[in-house]
Amino acid sequence: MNYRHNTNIVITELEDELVLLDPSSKQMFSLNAVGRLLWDQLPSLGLTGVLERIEATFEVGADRARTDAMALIENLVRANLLVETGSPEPDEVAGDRESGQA
Amino acid sequence: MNQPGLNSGREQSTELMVFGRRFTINGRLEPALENVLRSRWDFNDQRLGIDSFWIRLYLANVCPAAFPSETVSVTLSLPSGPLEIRALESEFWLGTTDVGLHLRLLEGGAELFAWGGEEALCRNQDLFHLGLTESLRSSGLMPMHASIAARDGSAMAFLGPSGRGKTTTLLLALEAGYQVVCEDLAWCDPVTLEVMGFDRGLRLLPDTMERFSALLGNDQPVWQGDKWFVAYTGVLFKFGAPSRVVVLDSIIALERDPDGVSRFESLSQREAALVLWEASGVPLSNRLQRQTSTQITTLISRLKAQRLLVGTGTIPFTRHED
Repeated sequence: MNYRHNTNIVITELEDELVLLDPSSKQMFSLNAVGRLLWDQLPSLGLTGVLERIEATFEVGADRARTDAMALIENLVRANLLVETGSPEPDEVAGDRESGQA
Repeated sequence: MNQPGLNSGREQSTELMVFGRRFTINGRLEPALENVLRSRWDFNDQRLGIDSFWIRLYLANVCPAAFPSETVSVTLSLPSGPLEIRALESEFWLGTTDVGLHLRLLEGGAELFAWGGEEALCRNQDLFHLGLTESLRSSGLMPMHASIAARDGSAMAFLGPSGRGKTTTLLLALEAGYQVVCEDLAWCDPVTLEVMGFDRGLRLLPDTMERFSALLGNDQPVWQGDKWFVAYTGVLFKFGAPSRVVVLDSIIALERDPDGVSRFESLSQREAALVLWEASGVPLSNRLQRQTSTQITTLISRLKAQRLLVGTGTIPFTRHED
């Protein structure tokens, strides 16, 4: 799946973190350094690319990176901060099958 | 600028200064509405930040033009009731064709067109509050729902949702030797860090009034239906008159800890951002939302940010300063 930011979201940049505000609901969300990397680079790199970047930057295993990233993406989409824009990348489908996700 | 439907009666122009911004009211300004606007928005003696920004209000009896159909519409829930807002990027229509306000944010200024007649506009003061708040934001200022106390020209803002103890903490700070800047709302210039209180007095619940009566001097408070109003002017504060323009030094997020001792703790940047967004509120305009985000980032980088857990014992204001 490809993703883009909801363009209505207001972003407050801190040193390592981001605070995301949805003006329509007045709800606020904060992202730590890992979440910030995912937020910044998911739209351009895609899921496979951003997982590789997370693994390299934070020295976490592939399974842990995928599990945590997918959980965060699901929350961001549910909160209408991220918008799904297209079909899954081929690598992503294979990765989902390997990790047992639907 | 003229629009069809503007009041055709005796033309007059009234001028107020709002934190150094020239606020001109054009059209027939009846005494009751003038009193409403002056009592809330006349800050002739104080300046914050740039002062070349202008605000022009045009009064009309009827809506000057039909609402544009391509606007996005949202409904705000206000204490006075629901208010419909239609928005384009820098233009807003608040209310209805019967009573409402059209706001245009322009380069260097803001124009507001209000209609509905004096009586209806006096009943719908939220229109002016929203329109002028957005205008002042556009001039570079940021509103801050907070109680603020100052000493020696340096101020600390107590932040938190309603009921968190902002007023009580402010009064405790006054007992400790601080002066009041505001009890509910201030305007801040994030460039200079100057803040100025917007409210004109303390609004106190009866039990708070009783608890702190010795602090508030001898003026007669006024009962306003739900709280006592104690005007800043004429009040003999124990440690000196209220400060109006001061430099903000710290933001303090209030939390309750009834089982613990009152104490200050550190506040993360993320927590500071959340409380500052709550204190500022969300502007109507996308551009001003982004501006507020930048202002909050600036404030966090320049202010001390702490959490005050209000529990038992005396709040250690002095130790906080050290």
